Amino acid sequence: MDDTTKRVSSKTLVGRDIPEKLIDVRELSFAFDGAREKALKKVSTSVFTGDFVSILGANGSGKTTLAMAMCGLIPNFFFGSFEGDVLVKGKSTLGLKVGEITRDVGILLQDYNSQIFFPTPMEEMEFVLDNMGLPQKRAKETALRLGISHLFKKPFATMSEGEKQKCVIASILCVGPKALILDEPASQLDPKERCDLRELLKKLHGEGTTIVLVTHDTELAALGNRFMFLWKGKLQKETRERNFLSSESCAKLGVEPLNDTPVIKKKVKPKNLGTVAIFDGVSFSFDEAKKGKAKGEKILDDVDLELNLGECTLLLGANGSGKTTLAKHLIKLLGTQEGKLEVLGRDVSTYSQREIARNVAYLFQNPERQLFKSTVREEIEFSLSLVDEELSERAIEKVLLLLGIKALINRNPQALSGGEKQRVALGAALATKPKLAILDEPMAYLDYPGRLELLDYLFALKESGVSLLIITHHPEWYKSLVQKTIVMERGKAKIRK
Amino acid sequence: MKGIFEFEGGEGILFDMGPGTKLVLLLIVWAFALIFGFFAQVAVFFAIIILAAQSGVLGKFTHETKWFWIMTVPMILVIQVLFTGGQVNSMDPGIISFAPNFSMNALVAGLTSALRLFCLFGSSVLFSMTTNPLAFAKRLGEVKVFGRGLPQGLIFLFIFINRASALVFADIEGIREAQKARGLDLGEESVLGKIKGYVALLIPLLTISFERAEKQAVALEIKGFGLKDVPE
Repeated sequence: MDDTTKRVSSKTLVGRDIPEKLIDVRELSFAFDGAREKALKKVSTSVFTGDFVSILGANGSGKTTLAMAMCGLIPNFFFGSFEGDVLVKGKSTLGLKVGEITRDVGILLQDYNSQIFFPTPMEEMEFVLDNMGLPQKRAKETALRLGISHLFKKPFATMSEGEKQKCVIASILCVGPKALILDEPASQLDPKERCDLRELLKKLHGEGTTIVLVTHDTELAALGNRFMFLWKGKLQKETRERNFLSSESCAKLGVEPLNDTPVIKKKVKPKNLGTVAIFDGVSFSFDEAKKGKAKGEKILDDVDLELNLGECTLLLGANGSGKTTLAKHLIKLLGTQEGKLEVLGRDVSTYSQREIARNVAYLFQNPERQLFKSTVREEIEFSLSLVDEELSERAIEKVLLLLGIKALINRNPQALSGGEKQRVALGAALATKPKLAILDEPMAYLDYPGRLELLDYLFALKESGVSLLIITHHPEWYKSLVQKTIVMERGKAKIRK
Repeated sequence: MKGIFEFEGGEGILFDMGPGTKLVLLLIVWAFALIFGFFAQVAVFFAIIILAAQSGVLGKFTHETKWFWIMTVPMILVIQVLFTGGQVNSMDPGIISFAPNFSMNALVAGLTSALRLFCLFGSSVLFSMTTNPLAFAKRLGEVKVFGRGLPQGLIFLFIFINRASALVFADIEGIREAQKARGLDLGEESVLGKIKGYVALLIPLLTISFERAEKQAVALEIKGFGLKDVPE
């Protein structure tokens, strides 16, 4: 029995370990207030002490809803039509205070930054312990246990994403819950941080913490010893067989099979169409300390690069290595301090913001910030007005059809799901027919089918002569597209062909 | 201004001091500034500068108070010397009339007024910069008057607003960047374009703020806020 399959026994009966039923979900159906469809439909399952359960499924399959029901947020915080029951340590969660349940079942939210209120982990933990009426000494003990003593008094503002996440986990674990639920914990982490997270989860499980992991990341999910697959609110499959994660059936449930490399089309060598951007000895530093970087520390250090028309370039590197800073120079969000940057043969500083936006599109990782009109139609119209394109129904329809968002035309962009928002933002950015499209983790919010669709679309875009610069922590997803890879390391750019 | 309200933490006397003790010290400085004359103001001025330097925030402090030096101090000096005739400790300024007085007394009176304002303003800025507002709220929550503390709801609101207001600055910056990337640069727009641009800024800002408010409320629930009375 290895670490991942070991169970911690709570009772011994006739010499055999009997795991305790920690969370019991009974015929649970739930629809959020105002929602037409149920997010969960008659889901029944149990989590035992010492389990490591991975919950997988496509976007909107009900994974997060189930996680929230397991820690009592549903129905005690999020209201709606609730049928069935959820029991934690044999007690129904209905009517309890959420804090009473999270003493036993803690949860790390997908946006774990929202769980930070205080400047340092020490204060964060002391606040939770104070609320729960527990001794303050547990804060130090937990920091020691998780190996984050060196971060105990460090301000969150100066930490990397991985460090921050670890400290939030510590603030959950300091009250001593039996189980820890993690909702998409790897989505904002770079490869090294993901590796650290895997080790942490293994360690916690090895020490006896029950883990419930909600994720799109099949590789991370494979750490578990039980796998639940949700599909349109139903628990479609529950298995202990790890091999199932590599099977075709896994893909049918909207989950990327393990070790799968999606290749949509044959790799085509791009025609030599010239250069779209040339970095010539570009250096950059902020005049104030920012995101863990000291004042004056070089974020870009003498970068020499060429991006070619019709090519797909991947921009890799750890969080804070300078990827976004490099990309922001291309769209004039940051001005060059040293060196020279040319976009389409012109010094970037000679472009107006409107002119540069016509030629370079930028899709941010958080698309909601990019959408500021009342309807999807207005978003596309705004982009078309930038290029003085005729605002005809045909032009708008062309963009909508290309991205499969025609049905959303009169919807408010802010009311759409994460994946839909991303498509609208992409449509709005690409409506100007740019020569270069910069995409910052475009697949971050997408499930497996969504990723395949986007990959197909990016391929068509590249074929049409648009250069792609993709900032990502997942180079494996773009294998069939890429011509050049740039790796950023402490502000230096290294090219890997 | 952002720097005044954004607590970053650090090391030094002011960071090590408890929020309650620091509040008492602030009140003493205010009393000093309001009651005593020129030499006391000079002493308090140097004390503020030394404390800021010892706590490693002198650079930030001078940056955040530079407008006070550039605008307010010369203005007070000019008013004192040119308009009030340099009446030191005058409790009744009367009607301000043009009465220039370039004597040493008038200059000292002007400097005293400027230093007095600086001591009041500077000590408050230093308090804000070096005091964790949430720890301060927690401390307030512990204070009992006639056996009753501050209502939990009020402290909840304080924690909530404090965290949200720090993040709103970052949101505004992010949204403006995203809009610029789409070609909407308010600096390049006409007056009408600027107005439309600010409205456009509000839509995502409100959406993001509402979403965050909900997430923070969830996070506080998870952290067991207000749970103290429920037995384990």
